Parts: sequence; structure tokens; C-alpha cells
Amino acid sequence: MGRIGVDQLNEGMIVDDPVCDFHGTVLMQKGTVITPKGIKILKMWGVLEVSVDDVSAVEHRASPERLVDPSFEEEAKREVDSLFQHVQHSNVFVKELMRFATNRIIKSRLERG
Amino acid sequence: MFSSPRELLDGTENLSSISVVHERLNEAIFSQRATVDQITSIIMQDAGLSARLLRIVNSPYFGFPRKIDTISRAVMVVGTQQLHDLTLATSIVKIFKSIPERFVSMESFWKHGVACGLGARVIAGLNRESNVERFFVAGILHDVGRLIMYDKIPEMMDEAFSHVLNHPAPMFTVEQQIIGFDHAAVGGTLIEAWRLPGSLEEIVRYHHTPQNANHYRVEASVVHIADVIAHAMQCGSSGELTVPPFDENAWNLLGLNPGFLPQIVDLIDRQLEGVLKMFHSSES
Repeated sequence: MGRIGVDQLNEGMIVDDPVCDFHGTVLMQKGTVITPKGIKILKMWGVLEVSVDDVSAVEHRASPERLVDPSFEEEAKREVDSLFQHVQHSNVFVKELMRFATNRIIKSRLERG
Repeated sequence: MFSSPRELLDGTENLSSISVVHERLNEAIFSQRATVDQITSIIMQDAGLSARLLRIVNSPYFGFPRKIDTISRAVMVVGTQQLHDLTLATSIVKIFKSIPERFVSMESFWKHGVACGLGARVIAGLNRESNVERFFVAGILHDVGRLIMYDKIPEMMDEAFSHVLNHPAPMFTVEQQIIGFDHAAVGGTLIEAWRLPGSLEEIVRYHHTPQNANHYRVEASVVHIADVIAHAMQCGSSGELTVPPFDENAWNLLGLNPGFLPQIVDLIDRQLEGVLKMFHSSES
């Protein structure tokens, strides 16, 4: 068992701990089988993590930076460096935020073509 | 030249714009004796407020499976305090109709506020805070002081923008240099003048410097981090051109796991447009 993000849930996984919304209302009981509709409901209620029985079934998706031209990625990183010019980069959260912001810029430009 | 945020706010029409209905609603909720029928009756005296409330409860923010079509049911389902907080936010957004477009569009301004509010609500939930809707409201209003500054001292804000372009620095520090105080101080003073809860005042006043908050440091830290995320995701802007300085103490105080970031951003992305519509559609 283990906790995973809602985006990593797959159909057929089994909920290992009751899932509650922000107000503590139980949305899924322990033992519930995950379905596409169930995933939609969890997202709708803003649930971020769920404890499931088999974490090994999580699919690992490729991050966008592995799929693009390195120069494109460099350009996005420069933009993010400029955006974060007044922020110290040493904190683990800031590093993750910068990585995430870079991927977001790359994704947005890929979608625009 | 104004010597203090209070002086800047003197004579501002917007100060008196929080409606009588809101004051009565506030009193009823804080008295703890009001029934659902009494609260419903107060809300229904204001047709605009009633319409906004129904839009809120039927928006993606709540995502209720069935349409809620009466005020009394909305009060029962959402709860009085949450309902008060949310209607307050929409009422304040409605007060500020326009600002000079050369600074920032109203759409971009509120997009940033709502993104920050949605992020703050998620972070507060992760941190097991009670009544997460108050974080949503605080996020929406965190930069409200800038609207007053764009309106009352546009020339000084022009000067601040020119300064930032020529000498890159966080906008709020340039406001302090040029005007003598920043938008956070103006916003905090405005919230205080409106006699809104002290937690909201402190969050707005200290969203860039949460370590200076006296009583609500955790709350100010939540909104501080949500503000940084909203800037990093480039979800609208209130005038800040870069991500504002990040207070590591705020991060340590909450002890959040950075692994939550994708989910926080995903939730902001999925709810942002729908929630913005709830503020702007069919204004009444």
C-alpha cells in the first residue's frame, strides 16, 4: 500500500484508506475499486492523494522536457530564471516550482505549435 | 503625497461600499443565534447577492452533482460562515469596476487573485486548517491595495513601473521606496476600515512578509506560498512582473511536501476559468 497522487490512479486500484474532502466528508470507503468516474469525482472535490493497495501499478509518464529540442528547453529555462530573479533558488520547493514552471512553458508552446 | 495608507484611503468612495446587507449578515453569523431562515431572509433582501450566491454554489468551485436553486438550500449545504466569506469576495470584486488598462486589465488582476485563492484553499486543506474558504477569500483579496493605488495615485504607480523596468526589483519594495508604503499595507488598512475579520487583515497586510504577522502567521504563510505559485504559473497579474521573494520560514512553518505541487497547480488550472465566470457572468 501507499499514497499516490490522484493523477496517478488507474482503473481497478483498490482504496486502502477512506478518502475525505477538505471538510472531512467521506467520498470513498476503504475497499472501493477505482473507476474513471471515481477519479473524476475525486478531482472534482479537490482530493490530491489517495492511499491504494498496489502502488507498483502506477504508470510513470515521461516529463515533457525529454521530448523537446534542447534549445527550446534552454529558452524556457532562461525565461523562468528571469521570472525568479528575486527568489533564492536553494529551497527545495523553489527548485521544484522552477522545474514545474519550465515544463509548463514548454507544454504551452508545444500546444501552440 | 500621502504619509500613510490611512491617509490614502480617506475619502475613497469604495470604503463605504460594503453593503448594509453584508454587515447584517456578519452580525447574524457572529451572534451564533441566527437560524437558516433568518440568514436566508437577510440574503434575499439583496437580489444581486442572492444571484451571486446561487452562481457560487452551482460553480465548479463546489461541483455539486445537482443544481441548487434556492437560497435556503444553499445556506444549508454550504454553511453560513463559508457562504458569508464567498459572497463577501464576490461583492468586493464587484466594487472595483475598472482601473487604467496601462497598469493591468481587471481580468488579469482577478485571475491572479482567484488563482492565489484556489491555491491557498488547497494548501490550507493539506495543512488541515479549518474553514478553508477563508483562505480562498484572502487569496482573492491579497493585492486589493493595488486597485486603490492605481485609482488614487496613478502617477506614482507609473513612476514605480518605470523604476522596476530600469532597475529590476520586486514591485512592492519599489512601492515602499517611491510612495512610502506598499500595496499590502494599503490592502490591510482597507480590510480593517471595512471592519472585516482580523485574520483577513493580517493575511493581506503580511502576504509578502508572513513572519511579521502577529496572530495569523500560518494563514499569512499559506497565502504567501499560494501567491508565489500563482506568479510562477503566470496566472494573471496584479502588476508584479516577476515572482516575489519567497520566505523560506513560511515554507518551514507549514512543512509542506513539494510533491504536492503538481496537484496544487492542476487544481488551480481545472477550476480557474469556471470560478472566474462565477465572478463576472451576468453582473447584477
